[in-house]
Amino acid sequence: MTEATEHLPPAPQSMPGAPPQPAGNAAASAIGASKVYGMGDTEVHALREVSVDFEAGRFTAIMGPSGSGKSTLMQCMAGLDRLSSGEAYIGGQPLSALSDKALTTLRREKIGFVFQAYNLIPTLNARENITLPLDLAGSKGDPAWIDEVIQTVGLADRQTHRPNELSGGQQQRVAVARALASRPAIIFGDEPTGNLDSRTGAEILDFMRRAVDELEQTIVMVTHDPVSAAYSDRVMFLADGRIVHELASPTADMVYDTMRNLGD
Amino acid sequence: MLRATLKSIRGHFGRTVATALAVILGISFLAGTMIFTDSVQRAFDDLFATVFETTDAQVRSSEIIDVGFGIQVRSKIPESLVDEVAAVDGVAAVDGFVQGTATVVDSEGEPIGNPGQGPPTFGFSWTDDDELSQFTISDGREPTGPGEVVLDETTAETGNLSVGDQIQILVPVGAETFELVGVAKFGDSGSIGGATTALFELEEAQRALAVEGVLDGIAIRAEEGLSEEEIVSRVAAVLDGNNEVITGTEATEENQDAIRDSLSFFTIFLTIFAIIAVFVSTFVIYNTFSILIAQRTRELALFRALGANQGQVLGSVFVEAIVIGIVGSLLGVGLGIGLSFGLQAMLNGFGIELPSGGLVVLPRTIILSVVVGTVVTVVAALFPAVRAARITPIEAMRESAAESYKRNNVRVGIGLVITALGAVAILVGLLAPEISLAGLGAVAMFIGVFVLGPTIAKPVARVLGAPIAATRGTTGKLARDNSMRNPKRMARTAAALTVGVALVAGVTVLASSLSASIENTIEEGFVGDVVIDSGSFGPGGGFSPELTSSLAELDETEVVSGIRVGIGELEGTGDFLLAFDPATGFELFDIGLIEGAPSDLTDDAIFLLDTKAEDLEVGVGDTVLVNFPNSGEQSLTVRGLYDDAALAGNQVISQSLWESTGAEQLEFAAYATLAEGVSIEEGRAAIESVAAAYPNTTVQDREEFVESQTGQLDLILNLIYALLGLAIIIAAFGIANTMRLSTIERTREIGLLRAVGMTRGQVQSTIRWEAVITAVFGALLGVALGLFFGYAIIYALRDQGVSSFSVPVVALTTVVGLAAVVGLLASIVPSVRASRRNILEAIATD
Repeated sequence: MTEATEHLPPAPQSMPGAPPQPAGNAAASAIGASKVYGMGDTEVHALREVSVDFEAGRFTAIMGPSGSGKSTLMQCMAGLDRLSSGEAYIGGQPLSALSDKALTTLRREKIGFVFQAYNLIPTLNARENITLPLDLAGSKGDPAWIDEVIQTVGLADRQTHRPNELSGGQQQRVAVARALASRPAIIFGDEPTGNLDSRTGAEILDFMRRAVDELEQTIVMVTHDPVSAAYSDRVMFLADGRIVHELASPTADMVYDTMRNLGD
Repeated sequence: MLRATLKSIRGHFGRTVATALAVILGISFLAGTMIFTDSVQRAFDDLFATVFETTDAQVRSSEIIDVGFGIQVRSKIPESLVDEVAAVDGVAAVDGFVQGTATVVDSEGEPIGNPGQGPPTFGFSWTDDDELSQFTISDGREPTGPGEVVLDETTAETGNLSVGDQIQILVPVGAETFELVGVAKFGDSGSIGGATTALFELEEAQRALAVEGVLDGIAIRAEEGLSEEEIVSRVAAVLDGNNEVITGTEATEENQDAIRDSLSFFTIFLTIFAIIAVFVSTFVIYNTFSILIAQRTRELALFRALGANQGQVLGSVFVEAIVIGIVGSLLGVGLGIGLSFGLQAMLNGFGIELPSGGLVVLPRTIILSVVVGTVVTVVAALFPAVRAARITPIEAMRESAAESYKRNNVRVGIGLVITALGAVAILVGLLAPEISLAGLGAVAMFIGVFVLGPTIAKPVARVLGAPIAATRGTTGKLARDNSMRNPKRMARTAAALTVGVALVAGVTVLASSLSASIENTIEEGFVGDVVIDSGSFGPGGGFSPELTSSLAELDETEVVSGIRVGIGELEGTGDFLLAFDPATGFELFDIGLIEGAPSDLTDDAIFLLDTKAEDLEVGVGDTVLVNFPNSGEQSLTVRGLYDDAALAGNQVISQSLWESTGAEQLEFAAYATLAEGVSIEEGRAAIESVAAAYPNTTVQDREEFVESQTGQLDLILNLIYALLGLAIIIAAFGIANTMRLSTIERTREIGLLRAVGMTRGQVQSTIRWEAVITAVFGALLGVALGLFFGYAIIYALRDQGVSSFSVPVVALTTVVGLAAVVGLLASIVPSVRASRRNILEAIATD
């Protein structure tokens, strides 16, 4: 516990006239992020004053039991949901100030997503799915980069296939490629391998790892699987809406142990 | 299972309302039509019950000629009969009366009412016996001699006329000035159900209405204690075979029946549109149920897995359909009450005024509405329900919500056969003519195209969507792909619009062809420069021939000829006989004489349309028997044949012959050529200065004449458009419903799109364009069907003087454009709702 807190950024202090700022090298940060659902007796605190930086060029995993707030944290960081108080930043941009439209634009330009399943639009083929955020922005993107991404995920010969003609693993690879296509500031994955068998899952995770190492991308992934978490550079553990522990350069065993200890 | 069904209805209140809406709208029109026509009928019934309240018996001629269109003409009776009847033992009072047309001119110089359209403009003789008279003087006094008139209260008020005024009235003998000596109430009301009434002293009435020496009937009041039947049998004893006597009760019923008959055309007309509305609703209900059940397949399969059998699943869908049908129908009746006011207002707007009384909602209206609404809903739910019940639980659990579609050659074959049979039925029905067969043919074609719809929906959507996909980027492409995704659904959604658009297109093609034919006919057959038109056609409407004579005397005119509408039975069939002046009429109109010369139209002659002569199997030189009102049967020799039905109808007689029958002489229009060297402006000014004394006339040059003739179609055309508008509105709700259900189905997909950066505007745009593609698809099918309907009708009318088939390209393009707008409007609510759905919840949706 104590070890974990040392790694945390300083707790936000109320300084009149000077709001707290995220760290300079963070692709995304949260400061004093709280999320409350419901009112009065039915109030649920999903996040309690969480402050965290996700450094650029790193692969971070977020773990925690159901109801720990890990998905909420990711969703609020990714601009899919709004915090009750505190602030989330993407590339230094506070999200609470943005209109729905500006937030949408930010998602499509700065953020990539990989969901657990049903990531793809069934009427679009693989390549169209990959370029979807770019197409929505009316931009061509960087064709060389997109080709490189497609090459890397091994979908070069599957580009014109519709999602229903692809296997589950191939579909997730398309999803990852889409997340990379616009070279976003950060990619969020919500249990991206949760629906896959372990071998296919490993392929996807391997690829995500390479995206960070070789393509210099930033990934934040929510998972409950210690093996998946082991692909990351850093694991944050959440419980009851707070960050309770953190591991650097984790192995699966380390994650298991931590989980067991936290569970006590 | 029942409880689960009812829970499901409550649990999905939104979609239940959506389905019910189609029932409500369709049924509201049906109920509204019934309520409206019942109310009008009741108003008339009450009216006649009052009119004959104190009349115990009525004497009249037994000779009557029925022309159709609700027009009947009864012969007159001699005045001498009054004394004979009065002398009968038990008769307390008699009143010999005449009835005709008299149009009152208001203080501004404008005629009040037009007998050609809307309520009649009556000219009556005043009844001296206070008990027989239904009019009671409320101001001034009764008319007692020449130059005096009494008006009903409403007309005096409308025309801003008061007792003591000199007022102008258009009567058959001319436009005359009378002194308004009194104002009268009709029973308790100001007028006879919205009609205008001018009351003259009997002799003055006979003179003004051009029926001197004769009467229309004799009203009889019996002495106290004598039954109607008793007095009738006593009076009957003094009558000869030409006359008859009926009881007051019979007179009431007869008049009520006559109104019912003349309203029946109107009732049928409205009912057709009500049926169209219900038919369109059926498509919408069918489609909604299909989508709902497809989306609920898993829920239904769960029931099956838990032990419900096929019958129970089927039953649950039926219960839902019945509940929606009954509730929707009842709400429809409620809305129908409002709609009946709307119909009245709309018809008023089109210049068709009807008397108004209380609102009549008969039990029959409610029962019929509920039965039709429920049956339609259940029938519409039948196929989807059977489909749902057949699915095994395992299949259903596996299957995704979306319906699958595979091209099915059997389906294509069936669709083609039904469409072809429908087309044949239409042609045969129109040529027979058997309109109901043609109607069934149209229904069959709609169903056939409906069956074929899914097969053509995908390729058509691809083509229609291509420009959108090319210009609107990803949203355009997604819109097109989404519209192609479920061809069955798209075809079903579009079908409702197809029906409405097909009818609009058919009517438009028909109107445009008729206009072109009229224009052609006038262009080729009419050689005059100026037309003086009364705006009415048929008995009672028109102006005095005196106007024509005065116009002929002008230096500016060369030839002036008036045309009158005669009535008679030709070989037993009642019809109009156009009365020409042989000396002038043929100079102005080329009616396409095949045999005979204008001078052959003597007082014992008749000219026949060539096809009419064929039907009667007569030729030049043969004689035909014509029965005229008043003068009775007369043998006429066929002296001429012509081929222009549009200008001259089925038969032509001379004006002097028509005068000799003793009928009211009114010219519905007069036509003039100008003297040499007189410009149109000069001639027109001269004619206008004379015609100004006849306020029901309008003076037109050739161009205006063509316009006014073709413009008469516009009234009926606009009325039809307005009534078909409801079918389009129902179709719009259908599109909105489909879009709503489709977007609910695609909740997760839309959530994902939003997550990866689709703005709300882009979401809305995608849905909007999809709706537009669907609507345009439906509209194009509709236009294709409409072109066929229009062509078939024109083809069937080719012998009736309809010579041109004209395709109004601009109008039809506009119709398709409007359909696109309808799709756009229909998609607003569902698209906004879909775009505002919470992204996280959307993504989490299973």
